[in-house]
Amino acid sequence: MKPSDFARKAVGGKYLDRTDTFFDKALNRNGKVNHFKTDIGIVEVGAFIITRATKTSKGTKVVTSEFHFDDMKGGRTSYMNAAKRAFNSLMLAGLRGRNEIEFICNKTTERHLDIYLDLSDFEKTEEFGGRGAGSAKVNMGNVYESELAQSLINYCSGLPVTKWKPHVELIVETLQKKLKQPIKKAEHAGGSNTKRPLAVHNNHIVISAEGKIEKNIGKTLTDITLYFGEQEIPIYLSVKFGETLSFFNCGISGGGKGNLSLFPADKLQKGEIPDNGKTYLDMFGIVHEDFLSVFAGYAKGSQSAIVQDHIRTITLSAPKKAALEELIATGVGYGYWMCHFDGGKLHFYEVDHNYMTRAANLISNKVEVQYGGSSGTGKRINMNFETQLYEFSFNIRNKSGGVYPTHSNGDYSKK
Amino acid sequence: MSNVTQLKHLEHLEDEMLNYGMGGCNAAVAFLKELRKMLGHQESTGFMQTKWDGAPSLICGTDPMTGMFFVGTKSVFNKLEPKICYGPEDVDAYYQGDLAEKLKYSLEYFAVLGIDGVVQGDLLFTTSTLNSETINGEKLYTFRPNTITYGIPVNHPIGVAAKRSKIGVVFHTHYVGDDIPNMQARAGADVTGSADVLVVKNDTPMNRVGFSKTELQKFDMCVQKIDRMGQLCGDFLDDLVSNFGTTGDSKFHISSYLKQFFNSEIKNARSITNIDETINELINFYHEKMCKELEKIKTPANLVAKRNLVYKSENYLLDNIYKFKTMIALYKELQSIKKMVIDKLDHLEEFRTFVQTDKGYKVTTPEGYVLHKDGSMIKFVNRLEFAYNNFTIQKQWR
Repeated sequence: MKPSDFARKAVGGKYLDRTDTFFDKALNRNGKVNHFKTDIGIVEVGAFIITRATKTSKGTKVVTSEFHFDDMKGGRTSYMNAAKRAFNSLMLAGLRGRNEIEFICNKTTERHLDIYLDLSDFEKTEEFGGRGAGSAKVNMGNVYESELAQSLINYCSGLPVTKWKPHVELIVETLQKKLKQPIKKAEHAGGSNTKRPLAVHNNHIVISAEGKIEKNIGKTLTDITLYFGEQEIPIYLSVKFGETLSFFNCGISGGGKGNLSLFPADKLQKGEIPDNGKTYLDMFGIVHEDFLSVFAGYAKGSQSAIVQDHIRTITLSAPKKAALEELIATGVGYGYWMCHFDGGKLHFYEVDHNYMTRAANLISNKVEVQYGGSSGTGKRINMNFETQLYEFSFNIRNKSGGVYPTHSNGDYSKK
Repeated sequence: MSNVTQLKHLEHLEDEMLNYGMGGCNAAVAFLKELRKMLGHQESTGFMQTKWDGAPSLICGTDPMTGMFFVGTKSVFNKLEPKICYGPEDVDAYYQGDLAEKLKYSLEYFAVLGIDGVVQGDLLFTTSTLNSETINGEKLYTFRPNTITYGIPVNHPIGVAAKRSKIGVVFHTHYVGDDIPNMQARAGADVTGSADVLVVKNDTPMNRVGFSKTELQKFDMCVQKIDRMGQLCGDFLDDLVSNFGTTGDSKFHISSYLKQFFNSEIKNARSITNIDETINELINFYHEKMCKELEKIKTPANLVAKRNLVYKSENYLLDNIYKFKTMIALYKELQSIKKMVIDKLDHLEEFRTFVQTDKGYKVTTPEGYVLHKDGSMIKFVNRLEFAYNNFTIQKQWR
């Protein structure tokens, strides 16, 4: 799920009482049951931790608050209402920059395991406006992409455009004006999303496109290709839907095809980190010992922040900064047009070499590293940083109910 | 005697007898006796604050349940949907235009003040609304949050601080409790400003009020007279309160229109000079009100019934004419002792106060003062002056 499933500015905050639905489920009340469908199966939610960043005249102020659903039972409605307010406000602000929400869950079959999940790990089920379990799962991003492609094809064929007409007009007008050539045809690349796993290249960790290491990636990642003029100049469109965009999301413990074995659990248990894992950590200035302590400390059931000064601002050395910028540059790439519909507005812009450079250039050589997450007690490391164009939130975390990290993912939002 | 849960509305000293009868009159006397201690520089549990004509009124601080800083208007106290803004996105969802901009500005600058708990204040200015003007030959920084234009000399320490700051505010109330919608108001707010935020202190420096011995004697005599008159017409005041109502038969009783009448007199810039004339004006006011009410009635039977209520009420006035006169005299006494206090306090203010007229700025008095005693508060406002300004000065900045 995503923040806009719960709150939207256009409707004055709360959206369709879904925050109430979420709380009713977690509290087993009003006929709802504390079973949530997630990436790792059905879980029960016990608590959530909110990290809220607010821009002030003296910089960004960050507050972390933890809310336990057990504490909301027994008529403690004022506490529940306060938790709802905090939850809804965060949903309205979006999970941008240092804003974060983490749910402490357990599987219904393994209640002894604490599983830390992000909002994006929750599936949008029928109660939240998604499809029911018996229906085929619909990815709104795919629906938007298909409909937009068909509308562009219709436009090029002189057929009526019934869906996303303003988007089609904006795209065509912008590109015709830029290329000074008329549009000839449109093709839907179709298929599943291009896989963007982490890869090793010249001793750096980079983001590949279907395994290829290159930055001119328009042809590889195109969702819709448009052709202009007699020479049929191709323009590659990358179609994105939603507020926060996923940069990459991949397994890191060694399982799964094409996934780098950065942090295999058996090695970490012995206090060892493979070289590629060290390279990945170094890019963010993560101290190896503290990285290991976070997960080892979690296994021992630490109640307070596992690592001292768990939120640190790291100043990257020039080589590390360059390595991180290379990672981002390979992720952003160039040679295409971004067609990003955030649910309210279409953002259509060219991602050329210059744009990629600005998107990848850190505005400072600072990275905020949160050992144990914002609370310091989680089985995760968060890495937040900003470039000229984007706010990035990366993490290395466990989302299986085990202890050692299984996934690393990176989200970004346009500033 | 507004013993307030949340600061939404304060009462005037002289209205307390109309609100609470003899109890209200006794409370007014108790407030005046406390004030006497302050004016005579004796030990007192009460204290006085200067009212500021700021806008908007805002509540901010740390939500005790979430630990998050918030801003908002009085709507943060809504029982059903409290409008508590933790971030600019919340402000945009709840508010629009100028109010939204001011709340976002407040959020940005007040979040770093280290406010302990929850406080309420009035916004005075932001960078864009602080002007530099010469008025009556004096160079001032001026700002106009509402009706009154405030001015502070450019070389006064507060003027220098105002120029340097990005936002100006006066905090006057703090709140106690764990849950925002159920918090309780308490007088005063201990907030320290910063280079960016000018926090204007509103404690009225009562130690600087110079009442002479003669003035104190006059004050004492006046209080005694009020106390005596209160005892004389106390039962009648209680009777008026018991007949008061805004629905049903009570809506036709003259006692339900006394506060409205006194407000109307102030709006029309009329003060009580001759009690007989005031009684006549009260009769006329009541008559006009009743004509409008009776016109709304559709059925003849109901019209007869309600007319009888009006006749009964008019007879009530005639039967109790001397009691009405005593009540009006008491009201007048309370107004006069209040004016005596306000006239003294007005000289304490460092800020110049003006109202904008067609012919330029006209000097006016501060909005008024609030006396706090044992958790209750009452306002001392020069109603004739302020109401005149409020109702007649064109609010062209809106």
